[in-house]
Amino acid sequence: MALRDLKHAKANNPGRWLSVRVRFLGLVFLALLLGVFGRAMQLQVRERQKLTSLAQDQYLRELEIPARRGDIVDRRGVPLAQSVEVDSVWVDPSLLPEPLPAARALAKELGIDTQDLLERLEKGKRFAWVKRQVTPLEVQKVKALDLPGVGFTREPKRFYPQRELAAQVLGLVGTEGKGLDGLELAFEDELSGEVATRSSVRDAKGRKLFTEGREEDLARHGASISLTLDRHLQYLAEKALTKAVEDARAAAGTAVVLDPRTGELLAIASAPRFNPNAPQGAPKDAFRDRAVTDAFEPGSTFKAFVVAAALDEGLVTPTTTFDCENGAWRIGRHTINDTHPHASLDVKHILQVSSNIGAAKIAQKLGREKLVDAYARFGFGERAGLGLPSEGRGVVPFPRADVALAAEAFGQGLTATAVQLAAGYGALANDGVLMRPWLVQKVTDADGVVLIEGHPQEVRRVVSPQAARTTVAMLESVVEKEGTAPRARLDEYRVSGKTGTAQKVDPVAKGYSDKRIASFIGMVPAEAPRLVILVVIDEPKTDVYGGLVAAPAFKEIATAALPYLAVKPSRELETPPSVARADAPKPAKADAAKPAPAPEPKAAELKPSAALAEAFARVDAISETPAEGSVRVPDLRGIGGREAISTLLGAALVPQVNGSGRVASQSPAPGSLVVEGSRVTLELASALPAHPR
Amino acid sequence: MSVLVESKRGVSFSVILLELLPAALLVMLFAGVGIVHVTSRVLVVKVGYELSRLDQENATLERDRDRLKLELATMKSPARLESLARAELGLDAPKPGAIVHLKK
Repeated sequence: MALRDLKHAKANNPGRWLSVRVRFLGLVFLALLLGVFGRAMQLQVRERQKLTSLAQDQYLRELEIPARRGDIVDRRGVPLAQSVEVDSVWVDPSLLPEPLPAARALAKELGIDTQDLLERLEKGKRFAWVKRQVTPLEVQKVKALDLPGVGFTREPKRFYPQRELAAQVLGLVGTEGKGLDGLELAFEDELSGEVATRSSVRDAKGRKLFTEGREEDLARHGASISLTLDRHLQYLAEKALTKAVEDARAAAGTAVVLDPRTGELLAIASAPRFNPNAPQGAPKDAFRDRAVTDAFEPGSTFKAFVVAAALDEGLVTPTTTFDCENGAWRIGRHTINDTHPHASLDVKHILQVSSNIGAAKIAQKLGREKLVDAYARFGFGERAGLGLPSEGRGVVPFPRADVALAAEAFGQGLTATAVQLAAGYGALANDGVLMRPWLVQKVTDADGVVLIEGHPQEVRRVVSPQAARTTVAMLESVVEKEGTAPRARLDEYRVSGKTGTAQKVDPVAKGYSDKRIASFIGMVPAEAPRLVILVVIDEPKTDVYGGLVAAPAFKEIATAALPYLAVKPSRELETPPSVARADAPKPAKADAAKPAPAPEPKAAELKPSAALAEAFARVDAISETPAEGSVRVPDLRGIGGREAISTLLGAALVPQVNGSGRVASQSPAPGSLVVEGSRVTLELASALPAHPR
Repeated sequence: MSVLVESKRGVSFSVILLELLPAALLVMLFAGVGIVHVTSRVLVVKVGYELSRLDQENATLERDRDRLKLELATMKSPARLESLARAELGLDAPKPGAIVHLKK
């Protein structure tokens, strides 16, 4: 009945029925829209944060890009410490079907402990390190295992390409890339740079997809450090020192080479040495930078300071004579002895034969206050200020007792570091002016901005130029036949120096032991010193005297270092062998068949021969005009990249450019003679400071 | 019913087209914008992949450069050069007097 009524109503009033249907549908759609709107509100507003982070977790990746640790280079730009990215092996333990066989296989290939690895695999749910910083060969071996869940990631590793060279000065870097010792620790903030993060989208296959351009990342890299050390001089010093320590069967040794005019430390060597690329297994005391950290009783090398101070005060002259008590002088309950007894000696001979009694009497004349003051003025008892960790200060106690005053006059009862001692002699060599010893020449940001720059720094005038020169001149007698160090004498250069043989304190017995510290410190050439070279041998067993165990090492360093620095010889030898061969008259026919023996150089003072002068002229001519087909490399440092390229092309050379901006460095060096068409590598930096050309 | 048929016969085809034109243009505009947008997104993704590939290549090249620099420095270490010079070339350190100092 009702149905019939409805049909009847539809037929009678079709417009109204349509309106009902429309409204009904409208309501349905409105409800649906409201539902959609509500859901949208819930997803977009209420749960927005949660859902956004869920989504980002799936497709966004924050890549952590480790900063490249800055290089450490020597004064000529030769790298001493460099960082290179190497692979580290990790594993997702959840993907390993059988952890034990996998751990065994990995441990075998990587040379690690299986049990340790298993423990790490059990601890880590989705990530565990297998081995960090592995070699390319180890990477290949692990890849060959084809284990599921094993991955590789790149990490920067520190390398020291010169191996043991200056290892104690440079220090070490740990697996986490933090400096542990030496310069690596002292300049951690500058060297390390800043770790950069960069977001990247990952697609379904896990591939990286950058949606933003790559930012210039130079700024986050670590700064590089230029040292005052010279790689070649460092090598010479370490080689000679190692040989001297081995020959003397000594416990350890130290060598320091310093430029007295500027205070620059050119070499700091310590023995025993260690290879910082593989420090595991090296003895603990090999890591110590002895020249900087260890304060020791220096012995007779201190006599030169006593004499210089007394000369400066006008209390003595080189000819002032002192009663040397025939080698034994009693002060209270103590007796001061000389190795060789002398009735009396003048100041020059006190230094030459290293008389303890003579030095003690000069100190007595000088007085306690003036002696301590003189030592302080020479820089003892205060840190040299190199900025290295654990730098030693040394102690100069005030000598209340007479015997303490006497002992301090010959370098016992006080302590100093090797660097302080070298700097003190540097003051004598530099006409009485103490220069601050320094090690870091420059700290340069990755974009070429100089953050720290070292300069020669005058600390104070210690003694008058006259007193300093007189002392240096008197010390020349030490290397003469009658002196304590004839083994330090050089054929071509005048040497001024002093030996030291100090007794070592026994920390247990709290007295002096029978162990010694033998040393020699020399200034070369004596007429205008360019180098101060100190060699200290700790606990020598064969001989105990500085003139016997340390002086030969000094000679070895100086013989090679002075020609390397192009220091003109103090005296010229009779016939330089190479020149003599070129200009010698032809031998008689009868002698022609015999091989002519190379003439042995003689240590005699002679004026340059005509042949030598001719040789000078010839070499001059050669060096001024490059041979045909060769070209001299122009100095391009500091100029713009474009200009540098056109200059090189104009000089028939092929430019190879790295980076952008101005030329920061070039290889080969400016002025080198190279064959036409040679490649010249230019390292450009965007913000380069004005380079001195 | 007959009134409606008559009025429809009176509307020409061109009038209908004119009335539909704005809607058609709007649809075309939307389609055009959509195509441009999709194309640009595809390009961005393509360039993104290219960028990440080049980034990877750059990292590899930088790594190779660092390795080569390290190798060069290792090869030029004085201890190695000295042993090579002595063993293979028979060289020795110059004796005193063998070095000629040039006049300035």
